[in-house]
Amino acid sequence: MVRHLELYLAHLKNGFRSFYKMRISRVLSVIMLVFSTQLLWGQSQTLDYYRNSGKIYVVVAVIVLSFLGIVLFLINLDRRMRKMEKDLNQK
Amino acid sequence: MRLEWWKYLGIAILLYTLLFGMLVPLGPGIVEVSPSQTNTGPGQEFEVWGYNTRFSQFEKLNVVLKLDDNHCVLAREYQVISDYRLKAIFDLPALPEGARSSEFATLIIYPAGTGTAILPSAVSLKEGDGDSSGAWVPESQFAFDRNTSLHFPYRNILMESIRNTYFHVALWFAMMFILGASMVYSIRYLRSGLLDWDLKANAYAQVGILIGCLGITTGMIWAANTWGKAWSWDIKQTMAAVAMLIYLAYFVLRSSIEDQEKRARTGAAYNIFAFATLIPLLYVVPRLVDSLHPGSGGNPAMGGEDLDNTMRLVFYPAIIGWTLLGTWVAQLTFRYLKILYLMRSRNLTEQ
Repeated sequence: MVRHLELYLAHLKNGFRSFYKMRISRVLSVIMLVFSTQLLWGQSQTLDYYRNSGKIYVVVAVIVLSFLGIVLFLINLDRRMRKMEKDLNQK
Repeated sequence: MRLEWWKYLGIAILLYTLLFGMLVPLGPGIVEVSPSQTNTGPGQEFEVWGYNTRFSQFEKLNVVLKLDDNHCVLAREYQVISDYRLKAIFDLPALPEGARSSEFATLIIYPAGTGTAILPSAVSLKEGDGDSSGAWVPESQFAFDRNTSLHFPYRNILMESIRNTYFHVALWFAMMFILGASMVYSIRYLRSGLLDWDLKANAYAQVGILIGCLGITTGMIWAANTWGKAWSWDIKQTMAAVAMLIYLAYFVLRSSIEDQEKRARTGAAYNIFAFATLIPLLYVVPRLVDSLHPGSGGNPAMGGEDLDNTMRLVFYPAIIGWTLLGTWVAQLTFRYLKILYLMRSRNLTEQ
């Protein structure tokens, strides 16, 4: 177990060094998420609109939201791991 | 790496779901009939708006109003205005004996596109005082053209958003599997006392709640465009929110206990309790009360009316795909939690 961990930690130290400016992308995705839902809720619900689009944008919004949710979780995990690696590199 | 294939299988299945779920067209449908209320008698004119219809492509359309299997009437004449619009004139016979003072009739048009377009309860018919020139005929007189091409069913109000079944609904199913796995890991922890199982239970619960929150928000978007309001305090919505809060308490509980072993044991016990409340909250209570949501107020969600065979071709793989993706993310979270735990126990981090 300990040997396994040491290998793993060594891998972490040498591994993922190239990180991007995550904060910006995170804020952007939240804004996009809020904006897209606002847009959908505010739309006019006339029959003409639906006759043209058939509510396909509801499906698009649902897919985008599911994808964004999982990506945001992964970005957050990435951030937590980076903190951990920082601690590891300091000690 | 050992046994990695299922991760890529999950992604492949989700790509299939996305492509198949978005590209297969809807069958033809009828959006609106005007007027929606009329008296029986000769020369009743209706205007019909279709969706995904190709009225002008066919030489002869059969425009039929149907009360029941034995009482149908064919339009005397019709005029196609565009692919999506036509006018039809009916000679409506008097309502059959034993009928109520007004009866709902179903409008059927075939061929309408790649099959038959049907609008249930399209017109409300009242007994008129004019001469009744036509006569009711049984439905068996018309050879209805069954739609054999690949398509998803058209439903009014839902329209294209019926495709959300592969995303919103499949996400909830995936959440059940992931939270179920979390509970199993909690039981394993209580039986063996190995901390790995507790970390796994924690990781799977995190991902399960992520998927549950996505289920609620995607449901709100869908509801805003079909029920009219994003949040209508519908029993299904409310109970889903309660279930999420119960699970959020799981993380609050964990973070409030310092001692590693005590935290793991209390957390595991609570997790089993949380899953045990999830089932009645999501699947029992909503069925006892009136609800807008399918699968509530007594009606089964996955009955023949909500899913047809073409939709099953996408829906079941979608559940597997989302579950595999969730499992992958949960495994990553577990690996992070485990390294964090090992670092903590060697005083390598203050987190």
